[in-house]
Amino acid sequence: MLDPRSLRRFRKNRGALVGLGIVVALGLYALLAPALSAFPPELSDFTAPRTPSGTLSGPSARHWLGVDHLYRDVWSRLAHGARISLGVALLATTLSSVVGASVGMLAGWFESTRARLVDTLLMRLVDIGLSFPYLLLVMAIGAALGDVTLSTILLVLGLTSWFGTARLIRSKTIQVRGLDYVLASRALGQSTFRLLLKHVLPNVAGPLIVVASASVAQMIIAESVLSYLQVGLPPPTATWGRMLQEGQSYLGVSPRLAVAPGVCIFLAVLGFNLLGEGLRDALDPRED
Amino acid sequence: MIAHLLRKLGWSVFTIWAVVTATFFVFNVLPEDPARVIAGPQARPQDVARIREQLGLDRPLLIRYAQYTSQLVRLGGGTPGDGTLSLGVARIDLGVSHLKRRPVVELLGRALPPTLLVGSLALVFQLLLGTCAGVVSAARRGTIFDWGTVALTLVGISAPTFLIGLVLQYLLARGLHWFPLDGYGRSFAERLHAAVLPALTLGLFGAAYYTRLIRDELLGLLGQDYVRTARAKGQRELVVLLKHALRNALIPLVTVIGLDLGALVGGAIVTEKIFRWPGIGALSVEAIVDRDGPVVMGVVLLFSSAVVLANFLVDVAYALLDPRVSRGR
Amino acid sequence: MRWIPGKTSWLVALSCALPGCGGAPAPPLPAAGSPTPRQGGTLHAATFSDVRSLDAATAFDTVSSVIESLLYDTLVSYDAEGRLTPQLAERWALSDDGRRYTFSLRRGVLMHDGRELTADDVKRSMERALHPDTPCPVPSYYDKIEGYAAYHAGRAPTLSGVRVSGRYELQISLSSPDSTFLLLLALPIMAPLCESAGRTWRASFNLEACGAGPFKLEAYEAGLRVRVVRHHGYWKKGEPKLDAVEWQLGVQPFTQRFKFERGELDYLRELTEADSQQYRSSAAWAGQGAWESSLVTLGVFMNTQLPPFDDVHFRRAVAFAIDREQVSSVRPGNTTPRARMVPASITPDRPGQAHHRYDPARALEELALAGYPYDPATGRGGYPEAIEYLAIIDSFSQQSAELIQQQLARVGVRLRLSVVGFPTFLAKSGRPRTVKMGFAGWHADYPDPSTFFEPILSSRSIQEEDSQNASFFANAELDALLDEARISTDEARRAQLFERAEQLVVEQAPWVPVHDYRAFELWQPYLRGYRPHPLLPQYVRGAWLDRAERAASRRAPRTTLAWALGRGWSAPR
Repeated sequence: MLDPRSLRRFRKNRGALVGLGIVVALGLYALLAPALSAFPPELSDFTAPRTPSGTLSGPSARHWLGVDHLYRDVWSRLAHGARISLGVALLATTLSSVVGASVGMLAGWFESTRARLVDTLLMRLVDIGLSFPYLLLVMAIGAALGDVTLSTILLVLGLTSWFGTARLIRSKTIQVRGLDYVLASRALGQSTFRLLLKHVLPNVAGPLIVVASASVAQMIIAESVLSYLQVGLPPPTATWGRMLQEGQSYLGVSPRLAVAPGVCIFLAVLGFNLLGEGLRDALDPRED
Repeated sequence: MIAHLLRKLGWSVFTIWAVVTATFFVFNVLPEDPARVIAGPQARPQDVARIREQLGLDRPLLIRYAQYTSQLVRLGGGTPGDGTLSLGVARIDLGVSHLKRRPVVELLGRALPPTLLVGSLALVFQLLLGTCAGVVSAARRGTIFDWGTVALTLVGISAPTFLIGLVLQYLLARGLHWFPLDGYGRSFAERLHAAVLPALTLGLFGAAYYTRLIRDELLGLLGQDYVRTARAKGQRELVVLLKHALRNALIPLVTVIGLDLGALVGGAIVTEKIFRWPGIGALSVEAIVDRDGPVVMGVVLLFSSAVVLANFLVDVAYALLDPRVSRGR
Repeated sequence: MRWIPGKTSWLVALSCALPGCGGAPAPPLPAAGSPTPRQGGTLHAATFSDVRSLDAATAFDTVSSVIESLLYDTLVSYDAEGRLTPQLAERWALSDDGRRYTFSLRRGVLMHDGRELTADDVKRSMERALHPDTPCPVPSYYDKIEGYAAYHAGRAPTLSGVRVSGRYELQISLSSPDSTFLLLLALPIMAPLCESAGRTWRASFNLEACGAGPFKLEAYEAGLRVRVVRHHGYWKKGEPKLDAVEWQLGVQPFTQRFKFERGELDYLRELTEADSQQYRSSAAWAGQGAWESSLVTLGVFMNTQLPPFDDVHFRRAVAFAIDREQVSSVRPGNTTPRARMVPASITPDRPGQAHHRYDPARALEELALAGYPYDPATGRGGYPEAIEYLAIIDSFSQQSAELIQQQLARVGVRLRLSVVGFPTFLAKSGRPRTVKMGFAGWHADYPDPSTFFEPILSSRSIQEEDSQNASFFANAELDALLDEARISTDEARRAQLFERAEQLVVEQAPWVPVHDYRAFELWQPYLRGYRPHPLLPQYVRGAWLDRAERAASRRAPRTTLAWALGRGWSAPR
C-alpha cells in the first residue's frame, strides 16, 4: 500500500494535501458537531428575531450562521448534515469496496482456470448491474416504503455501486495472478482463499483505495441528490441536499441558507476528488 | 469477428432480460400490495381488483413472472396506435399508465425526443470542449494554462448538477436573457434554443471528465517509442499529439462515451427537473412520486436497453478500432 | 374542495442575490390605455402544480377548479360580489314546501360541440356525476335529491328526482328542503357536459373536456400546459374578451417571478410573503395587486379509527399541544392562526365562540387520561411509538409538520414524518385505516359554514376510497346538526347549529384547525378587468388584455457588462 516512496510522493503533491486537509476538517466538523453548537439541529429557536418582511436573522454570537426558515440553527444543521453525508458516503463506499473487491478478485482469479464459469457469471452480473438505473431504484423503494431510513440509503448506495470496482479489481487480479511468486505459491498447493488474501489483496489494495476515494465523492453527490429531490431521508433530518433545496427559496433574502450547504457539498466532493487523485499519483506514478 | 459480435448481442439481450426480471422481483418483494404499487394509489378498488386478477396475485411468484414476461413481448404485428411498439414480428406491450391513462409506449415515445435532443447536444458539447481542452492542456503541460485547466476540471467534476444548473439558469437565463428560463418550445428552433442550458448543465461535468481523461491518456502515451520518434524528427508538440497519440487515446474515450450515451438516454433527472424539460427523467420522477408502476417499469426497461445497446456499440467500435479484440479471448 | 398547498417559498429565490440590487422589483410593463375592453390576446399564467383532471365530475382540487371555471358554465353562479346569480338557468322557482326547484334554461346556449343545451343534457350530466362508477369525491353533497340513494347504490337506472319537463325546463325534487342546494349547483360537478361525455364516467373524457363555458379545451399536456381557447358560440354575446388562456404547469415559483418580470406571464399568484412585500412596497406596482380572500382552513386530521386516535383524550391532547402562533410565524402575511373550522370570511369572529386553545398543561392532563402520562422534566412516559404523520412534498404542510413534530414531542408524542406527492397524499389519506394523522386543508366550495363540516367531518363523507373525511369521524350529534342546518332556512338557528358544530370539533378533536392561507395576486397593468373574486379563485374569465405590442413591451436585456457588475439589474424605484 503506502510504501515510503509513495508516501513521499503524496507529501510532495500539494493538491492531495489540500484534499486531505478539507477531508480532515470536514471530518472533525462532523465528529465534533454536538460539542460545537448548543442548539440541536432539529429544534426551532423562536427567540431568534425576524424582520416583518420575513428576512431571517443572520449570523450572531448565538447562532453562528444564523437560523433557517424554521428558526433552526444553520451551523448545527450543517454539522449534522456533514455527519450524514460523510457517514453515508464512507460506509456505503466500504460496503461497495468489500463487495466489489471480493467479486473482482474471485472473477479475476478464476478467469482462465477450469472454474471460468464463475468469472463469466460474475462479470455478467456486473454488466447487469451497470445497466440498472440506481437512482430510479432508490426512489422507487423510498416511494414504496413511504419511509426512507439511513440504512435503506446506505444499502442501496452500497449495493448498487460496486460493479465498476469489481471490473477494475478483476483486471488487476489477472495481472497479479501471472506474477512469478504467485505462480510459485500456487504450485506449492496453497489454498485459493489464502492465495487471494496473502498475495492478491495487498497488490490490488492500491487501486482499491484510489477507486474508493473517488467513490466517496460520488456517494456524497448521490446522497445530496436524493435529498435534493426529496426522496432521501425524511424531514426534519438535516442533510446538505435538503438544506440546499429548502434554502434556495430564500436566496433573495438570506443567500447563506443555500450557499452554505452548497459550499459544503462542493468542498467535500472536491476534497475527496483531490485526495483520490493524490493517492493515484502516489501509488501509481506515471513515467513522464 | 461476426461470431464475437453475435455472442455480445446475445449477452445484451440476456442483460436486458435480467434487468427486467430484477425490477419485477424488486417491485414484488416490496412490502406493499403489488397491485397497489403497479396500479398506483389513484386507481380505484375495481382497477386494483382487476389488476390483481390479471396478475393472479394469489398464484406463486414464478407463475406471475411468466405471465408478466409473456405480456411484455408478444408475437404478431400489432396495429399502429394500439399502445404497443412493433418490432417487425414482435411487439412490446408495456401496459397502460394508471395516472395518465395512456399506453406507456406512447408516453415514452413522447418523452424520448426531448431527452435525445438535450443528450446529443450535451454529448457534442462535452466531446468538443473535452477533446480540445485535453489536447491543448497536454501539449502545454506544466504551464499556467494546463494548471488552470486542471483546476477547472476539478471544479467541474466536483460540482453536483443541481448546483451547476441553478447557477447557469440564474446567470444566463435570468441575468443575460440569452436563453429561456425553462420549458420546451413549440418549433424546433425554439426547442434547440431552450435545450442549450440543460445541455450545458449536463455537459459541463462530461467536458471536465473528458478533458482529464484525454490529458491523462496523452501524457501516458508520451513515453511511447513512436511519439519519441516523431518528436525526434522535430515535429511540433501539438502535431505529435494530434497525429500520433490522440488516436490511441480515443479507445478509452469510446468506452466512456458509450456509458454516457446509455445514461443520457435514461434522462437526466435533476437537470430535467430544474429546466422543466419534458423528457424521460422528468417522466420517471413523476411516475415514482405518483407510484405509476407501469411507467417505472417502462423507464427501467428503456434505460437498461439503452445502456446495453450503447455497450454493444462500444464493442463494435472496439472491434473496428482494434482488430486484436476480435482475435483475443 | 381539496386545497393544494403552495410550494414552500421558492419564490423569494434569486430575486435579489447580487450586490447593487436594492430589492425593488422591476417596474411593470405598461398598458396601451384602451378606454373600452378589447378583444383578443392570450393570457399567460402558471402554477407549480400539475392538473390532475379536467373532468367536471371528478376534478376537485383548487388548481383543477381554476381551469374548470373557464371550461364549464353551471346552472347558477356568482356575480362579482359573490351573490348567487343565474348562469345557464335563466330563472328558477322554488315550491312552497321548499322541496322542488324548477329551472328554466337559457335558450340558444351552444355547447363546445356546437349543439344546443337542453334539459336532457343537464339531467344526463347530473346522473353521470352521481353514477356509482364515477369517482366523484363528494356525491353525498347531493343526497337530498330524491332517488339519490337508490341511484347512487346502483339500484335504480335513473335519478328519479331530476325530471325533464320541457326542452328547456327541468325540475329537481328534494327529499327535504336544502338551504345549500343552489350553492351546490354552482359547483362544476353539476356542470352540463356535452353528449360526448356519455352517461357514465370514463377516464378519457378528461382529455377532451367539453361543456358550455366561455373557453374550450385546446391542449392538455399533463405536467406541461393547458390551453383553452375562446368558445365562439358562447351564449353571452361579446364574451369572453380573451382569445385564449394558457396555463404553464409545474413551473417552479421562482421561475414564475422571472417569467413575470420578462412579460412572459401576465398574472402571478404563487408569490411568497417576502416577494410580495417587495411588490407591495413598490410605488410602480401600486394597484396592480391584491390579497385574495382567505377561504381555507389548514390543520391536522387524526384518524379516529386507528389507535391511539380512537381515544378522544389522545386527540384532545394533540389539539392542546399545537401552538398556532409558532406555526404561523414562519409564514407571516400568508398565514394567520385559526382555531376554528370556518374562516372568518364566512363566519365573522365574535368573542365567546368555541375555539381550540394552545395549553400544554391541559395536553399533559389529557394524555394522562388516555393512559400515557408524560413527565416533561425527565422525558419519561408518553406514547411509546413514533406516529406516522402524512404531509405533502414541497409544501408548507411539510414545514408546519416539522414544527408540530417539535411541539408534540414536548408532551411525549413523537411523530415520524412521511412526505409524499399530492396524488399519493390524497389516495392514502382517503383510504380507511391507512394513515393515523397528517396535514389537512379545506377550501370553501361555497359561501356557507356547512362546506367546512359536511364533506370532511360528517359520517356520510366516509368512503372506501377517496374519502374526504380523512378523520373517518362518525358522530351522530354532528350528523344530526348538519342535517338540521341543511333543512333550516332560519339564519339565526343555523348560526346556532354551526356554533355547536364548532364546539363539537373542539370537544372531539378529530381535526385541529391551525392556520388559514391567502395569496397575494399580482398582474401586469395591461391585464385589465381582473380582481380577485371573493369566492372563486383566480376567476379570470372576464379579463382582457390591453397590450399595445407584445414584442415592444418585452423588457430588453441589459448590457452584459452592467449586469455582470451587478448594477442596473433592476431600476431603483
